[in-house]
Amino acid sequence: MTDGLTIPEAIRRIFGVDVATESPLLKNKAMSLERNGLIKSSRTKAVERSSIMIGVDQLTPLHNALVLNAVFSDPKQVKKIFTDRTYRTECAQILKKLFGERDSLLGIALRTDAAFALSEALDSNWDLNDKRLPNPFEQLPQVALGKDLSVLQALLAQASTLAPADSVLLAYLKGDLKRAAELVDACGFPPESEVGLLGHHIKAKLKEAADFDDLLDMLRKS
Amino acid sequence: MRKIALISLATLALLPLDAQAKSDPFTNNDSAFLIESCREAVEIYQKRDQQNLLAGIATSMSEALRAGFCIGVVQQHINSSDNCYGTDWLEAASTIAALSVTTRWNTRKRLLQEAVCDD
Repeated sequence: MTDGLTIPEAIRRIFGVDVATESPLLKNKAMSLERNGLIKSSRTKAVERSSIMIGVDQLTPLHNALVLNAVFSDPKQVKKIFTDRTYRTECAQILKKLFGERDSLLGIALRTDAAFALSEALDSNWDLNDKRLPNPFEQLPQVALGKDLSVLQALLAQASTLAPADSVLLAYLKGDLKRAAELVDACGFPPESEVGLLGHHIKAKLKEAADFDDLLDMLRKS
Repeated sequence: MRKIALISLATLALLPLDAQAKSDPFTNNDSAFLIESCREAVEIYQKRDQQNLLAGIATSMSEALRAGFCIGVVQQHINSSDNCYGTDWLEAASTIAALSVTTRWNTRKRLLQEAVCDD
């Protein structure tokens, strides 16, 4: 009998999420973090197959790693935040620009004071292995978005360096109308503003494209 | 007066005088236009199958209009005779799209009879 936890048990204890039913993605991310050495584990010598067990002392780093992973989707990046001070500071700046004045990100509600506190914590000497970071997400994006995490990544990559209005325009010009429409919604521009009008135009184009799809489907059968 | 005449003459001289006028698609002889139109139609349906909304976003008005022309001509041919009943127009359009534009077809009707079905 060991006194460790399996990764699903650990996630249940930290976030109250049952990965088997709610988020295999979250479990996979946690396992990647164990594989790359950030989370320390031991393998039981069980009879049929060995399980990965982590100690209770790994719960805090795991919590922090998964919260950071919501924004920085590559487990390598997350490990680097723990180990490389300069990189950690850069990421803190990204978080500041990203969360800004927002109270939601792609429809996932943010606790704004926690969002601010998270970027401050990352910027400071906060011990990531010892103290749990403030979690700004009402629900972790890995759970909420599932396999659409790439949408969030794309959004973040844009938002981290561009003003929100630029992100919308960039997506539109690249022909990625869906993302442009999502960005308009996520950033909550007032409808009369220029970007709001652009958003309206984008949605009209998307509707037109959907109607075109329907027309094509109808013609195909005739 | 003479100045105006000279300028007009100069302008006329500069207008491109094509030996071939823009081909009229409604004559029986233009198979190249039909083949190209059917290529557009095939491409639009490829986009449709590739991803939702892609066809609507990535197709220009001209491409769509040409595609429509192909669809109309092919369906008209299929409906014109009992022999052709049941022919799938998109398959027919694909066959046409694969033809070479440099082949000389006598009439569009011959092209349709050989490539689609003989009415």
